Amino acid sequence: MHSPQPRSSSGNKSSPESLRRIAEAIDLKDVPETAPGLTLVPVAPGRFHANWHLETAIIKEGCRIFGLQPEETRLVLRAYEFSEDERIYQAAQSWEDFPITGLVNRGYFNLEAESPFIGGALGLLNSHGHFRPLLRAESISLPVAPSIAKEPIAIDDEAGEHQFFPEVFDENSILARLPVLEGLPEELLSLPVTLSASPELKPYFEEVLDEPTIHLAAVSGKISDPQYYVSQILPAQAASQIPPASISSAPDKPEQLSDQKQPSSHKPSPPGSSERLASQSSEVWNNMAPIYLRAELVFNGIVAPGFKVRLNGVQLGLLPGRQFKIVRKINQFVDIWPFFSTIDDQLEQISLSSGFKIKNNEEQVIINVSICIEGRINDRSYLKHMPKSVKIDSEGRFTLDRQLSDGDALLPGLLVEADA
Amino acid sequence: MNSARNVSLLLHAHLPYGLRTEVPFSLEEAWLHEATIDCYVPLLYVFGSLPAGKLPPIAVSLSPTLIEMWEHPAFPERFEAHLRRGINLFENEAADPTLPAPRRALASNYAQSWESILKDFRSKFQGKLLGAWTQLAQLGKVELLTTATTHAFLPAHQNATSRKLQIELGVERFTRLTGIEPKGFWLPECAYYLGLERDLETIGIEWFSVENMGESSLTRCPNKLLAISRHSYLSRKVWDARSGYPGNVDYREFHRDAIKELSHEKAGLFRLENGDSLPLGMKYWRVSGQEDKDWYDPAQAVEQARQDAHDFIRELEEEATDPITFLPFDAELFGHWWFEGPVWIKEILHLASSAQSLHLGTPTEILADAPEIHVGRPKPSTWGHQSDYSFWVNHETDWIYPLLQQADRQLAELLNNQPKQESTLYGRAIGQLTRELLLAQASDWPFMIRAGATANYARERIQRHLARFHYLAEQIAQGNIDQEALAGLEELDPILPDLTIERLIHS
Repeated sequence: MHSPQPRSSSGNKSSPESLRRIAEAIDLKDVPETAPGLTLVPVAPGRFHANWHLETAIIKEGCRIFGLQPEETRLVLRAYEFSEDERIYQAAQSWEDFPITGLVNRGYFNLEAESPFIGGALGLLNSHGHFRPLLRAESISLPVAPSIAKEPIAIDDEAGEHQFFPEVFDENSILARLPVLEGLPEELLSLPVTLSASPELKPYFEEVLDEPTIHLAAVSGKISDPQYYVSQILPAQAASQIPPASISSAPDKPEQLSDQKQPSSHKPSPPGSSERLASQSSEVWNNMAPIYLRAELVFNGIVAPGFKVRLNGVQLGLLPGRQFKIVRKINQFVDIWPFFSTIDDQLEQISLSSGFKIKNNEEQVIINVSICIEGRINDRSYLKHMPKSVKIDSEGRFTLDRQLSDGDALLPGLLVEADA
Repeated sequence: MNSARNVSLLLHAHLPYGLRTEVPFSLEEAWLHEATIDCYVPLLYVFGSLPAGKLPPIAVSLSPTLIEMWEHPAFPERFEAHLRRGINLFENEAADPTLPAPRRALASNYAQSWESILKDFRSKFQGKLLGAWTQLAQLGKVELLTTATTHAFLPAHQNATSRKLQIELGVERFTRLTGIEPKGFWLPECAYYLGLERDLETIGIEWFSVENMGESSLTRCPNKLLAISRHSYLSRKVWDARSGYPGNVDYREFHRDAIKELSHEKAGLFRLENGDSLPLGMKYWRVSGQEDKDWYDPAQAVEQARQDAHDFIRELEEEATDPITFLPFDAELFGHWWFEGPVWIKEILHLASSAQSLHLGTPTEILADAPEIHVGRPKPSTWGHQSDYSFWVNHETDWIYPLLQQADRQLAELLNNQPKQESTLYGRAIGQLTRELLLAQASDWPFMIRAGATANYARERIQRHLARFHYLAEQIAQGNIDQEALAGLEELDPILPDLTIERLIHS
């Protein structure tokens, strides 16, 4: 028998005190963590966000059923591309595999093609290329690029006017801009076959580079012990192919991720302004460097009930679902380049045994790290140094996201402790 | 169709639900009152002055959450109390000999203006703002429409059970309260994804708004619904921070509110314990174009608004294109952000009515006569940065969506597995749990987090609604619903009061 009335109609209104008491008793209760599953969220043309929650038992069972060895197996997110709204993955026109880390994690993924619809499955890929799905997501529609490039809007003054791919290739102007590339990493210098073909670049090669980073501590994967001081337990994996990204001066509070710059007279404000603000999130690009890179390390964490997380002594405010998020900007080209230049090899780098540790599900804290790199290439002579999988838009911009393995990123000063 | 170019203005009015009667005053309530005083009431004056009995020259979208706040039984009393507090503060300023004369004069103007609003609110509008808007629609002065129930960012909920609730329940509530069956639908954030038109078909509309993606301004979807895209250049003339009209040095400065400068005693309820202030709208300065702001000159600002309206009409005559030049804006731009916006829009309506080459009408009227229209589907997009979804789905906000999707799945399970002998209490708990999920889905929260200024508030709102959702879900699962707590939550988040479990199952 259904309810004959939609809600309480007694007419007896609660007192403000009573309402506040009810709200206080409920509103701070923990929101449960997400259940096992895979969900996709559209972001931009050819770009989507995925969130997954895999249980260890599923992976172990998957390996057992399919006879897979962890060291020869990779966990991948397979994105199926559709031209129409499809629910049957066999109808996919093509697919792309993305290596992932972490059992409970999320990330952003860029497709080579801008398919209007995608679906996704998270599964095991063996060394022979056989894919065994463990979780499936429902398909989604992705946004597409405008038919015509839109005029740039509200570009900040400091960005100045830019000219992408000028008609005349001006070697002198490139030479004039070269000092901007101070700190060029060894890996870029180790491409003499291509670079040395450009005689105008030679003077720069006489620069002596310092060690790029000082390894302080590593954070990634799972931490099991309360009162756990990360920098003492997880040493940086210096032997890794990728040098850890260092955080040399972690601020007391997590920085705002946004690089959005509003003109000073139009600061972000309360609601009622969505068009005005959302449309005017301006881009600020350094157009002086031949290649400009900027990046953010994103630490996504979940802390178990009964525990809290401090960073440099300051307790982190938890998001619903006992999540926390720490974002650190990296502006030094030298710190970003290693992550950028090796992106093409990442699929081979992360196996089930190296990408993350398969443990039980009793960790007090899970932290996974990814790096989001965006950049702009201002001189086409540098196109040849771009990783093959990086897709560049009509204005020279590119974005890539990369899941990091244990030890690839550093975050000192993180403390996990039990509630008193 | 006549030979004049068709131009269609649409104002979308929306605030997230936030009338908290359990506290004397709150940030959300301050937003509501400020926008009502600066924007919604002045726009009622502007459109009220239009001649009756003609076809409406403008469309206005009123979001369901906004009209729920206006319809709340406590709103009239609390709005009047706010006006009285403000009038008192302005009168004190006007009478304070230690303040500069221009400030005192402006304070006196505000006191009179607010007195006038108070008087009209009581007598002319009889405490019913939605009723006033409905009356304008009945008189043919505006065409009203609405948007998603709590203004969810729909592309992020493509597979959610509740996406249909977002589309249908808001329209049903709007129709119940106004008696109007809207012909158009405002997509929150102009956010469209392929396939959304199928859900829109179920609410009986004829058209919806999308972003301009460099194609025709009109697209007829395979299911006959029309997608109308805005005119980029002309839209930007109005809202752009640099080149748009509101940045003129003579206009009132938005960001400086003198309430922050008052002593604790004078500021009263507007001063928070932590020293911050809630907004009042005590604004005495003009944009000026410099850090050191000049005093605001209302007459000069009005004259500038008229000049800008003339300029815009000239632009319209040059740039307007067939078959329709669609210009949607956030309503709050007019009066709230751009204080002189209502003057500008009144002048636009006046000038356009006498311009031979322009025809100002609503999409419903113009499209009834539209020529052959390209059949297809619009490109998935938003009116945000780069026209994509990234302003709402990004590193700062991505944690929201899995939680919302999980709650949505729980709702679906509850609706699919309801007990055979359900009780009234059970139905009410399901209804309230649905309200909490819908409120958590508002696009305002990821927007605020991304924009930065009120990010903590937005995170708290998501936590609040999800905590309430799971509290009820747990009690339903245990078969032990706390009646007092449920009644309390119904009062705390009283949107969609007519929602029944039968209606939810129907979706």
